Amino acid sequence: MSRVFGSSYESVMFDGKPLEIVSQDVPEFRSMERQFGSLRRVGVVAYFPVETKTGMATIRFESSSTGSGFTKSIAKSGSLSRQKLIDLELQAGQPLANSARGDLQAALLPADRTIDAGKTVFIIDNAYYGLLPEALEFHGGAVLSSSNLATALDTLKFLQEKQVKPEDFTAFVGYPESDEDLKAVFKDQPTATLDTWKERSGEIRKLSDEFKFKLYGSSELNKLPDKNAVLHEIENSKGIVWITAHSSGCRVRLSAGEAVEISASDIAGLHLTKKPFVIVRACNGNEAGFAKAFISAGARGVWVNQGKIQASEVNSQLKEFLAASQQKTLAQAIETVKQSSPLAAHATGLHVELILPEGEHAPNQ
Amino acid sequence: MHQTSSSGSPEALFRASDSELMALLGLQALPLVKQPDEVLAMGRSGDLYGNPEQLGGGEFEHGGLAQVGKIFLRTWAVELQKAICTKGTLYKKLREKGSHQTDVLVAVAIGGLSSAIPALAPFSGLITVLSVLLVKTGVDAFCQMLSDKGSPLLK
Repeated sequence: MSRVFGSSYESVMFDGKPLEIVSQDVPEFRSMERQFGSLRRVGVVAYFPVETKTGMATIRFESSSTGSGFTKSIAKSGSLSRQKLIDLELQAGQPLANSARGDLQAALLPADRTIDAGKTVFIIDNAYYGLLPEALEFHGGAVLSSSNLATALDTLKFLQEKQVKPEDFTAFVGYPESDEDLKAVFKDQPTATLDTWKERSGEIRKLSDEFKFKLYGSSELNKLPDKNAVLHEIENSKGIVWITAHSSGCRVRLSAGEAVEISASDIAGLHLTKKPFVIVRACNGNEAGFAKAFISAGARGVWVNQGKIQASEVNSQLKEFLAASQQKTLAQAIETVKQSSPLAAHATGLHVELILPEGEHAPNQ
Repeated sequence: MHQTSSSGSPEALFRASDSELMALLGLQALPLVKQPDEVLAMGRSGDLYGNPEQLGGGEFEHGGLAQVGKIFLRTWAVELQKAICTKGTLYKKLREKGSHQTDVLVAVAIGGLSSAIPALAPFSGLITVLSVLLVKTGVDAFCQMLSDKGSPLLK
């Protein structure tokens, strides 16, 4: 979702002093004030980067046991532009990019990080900067753009305490398996050769056999009559693995030979009644809005990658996750993957319970 | 006589992904870590062909060259550690400047590495990529990576 330059600004007050923030951030700011005002629980923090006339500022909320005693403060205010923030965040997802992570933290967070020790920290990414807690080194945190903080906390607790067995997942995998698929997915600009994609697809099929999850690979998707049939299968899943080989969406070829694209806005329009946990792996998965789309469709949580990712890395992370899921909770299984993959540690993150403010639409819609 | 060339646009390199930078490093380091017959063997076995299998396109992805980049870092680890990590002039300069002026830091690293490791000085492209990698990683984390033989970043 992009913002129009020359946006209007409104004042919000901090200890009697005004801070001029961009108008689009005000409804979420007010929503957070209400949420924290009614949350009678200590140890919950949210960082909300907002645009001001002079650059980015970060507002910090912290809950209190009385609800109304919550605090809000300007954690950081500087000259960092919106575009620079997006650039830094993109760089920060790379395992070696310690300097970008340092710059991002220096620009957005207070110097004293001990104030958040032992607390549940959420990041509010109201303007789709692509911020992930990992880039800010909040381990165990999550992205939140929610109008229901209490539900988000319950969700985070659910992910920390509950298991979803591998066999409860359904995987939708857009790797090409034939020349026709390759053309449908990449048009005339294929990345890797068909042999490579078939190899990667074979690895996923092997995982499906080993861990007994339902797989909709290219062959299975090709048998479905139309796009609605694919969307229907997604709606009925208890856990979802969503892997696309193309950046803008999942291009699949259906039985009639028609190539269709399932985009983030298609996903956002679904009604996921089983409140699934979703794993998204796509080129720029976080930035393309898939995580928020799944959450707004009713997913309980989404574990998404940021930036580009290789298919072999996707398969390796998935294998590790499924193996860990047999014994561990969702959050523990994610942590297991992060410990063995530097890319997963820095360029993946958890989204929980997005409920878009009234009148707003999912990205790409 | 060696002819020096400009370091190009480190800013563009700074926006490259880790795997792109490692592949670039491998490309620049190829003559330093592989004999011509080994390069010939790599070519014949297809290792010099890129096979970008990332989801989506638009990135310079080359597993074979990235491996060469990692071999270079492992092979030259001692010299690099001596030049960067012994808390000498270069280390101090990189730490003094802070992490905010990346262009200045890259220039400092290029000058420092060229003078500290004369054998690499003629390879200006290599020095530039190496300097960007160093600044991007941060001097302490870079040194830790070099000293950790089991680092997943160099596998």
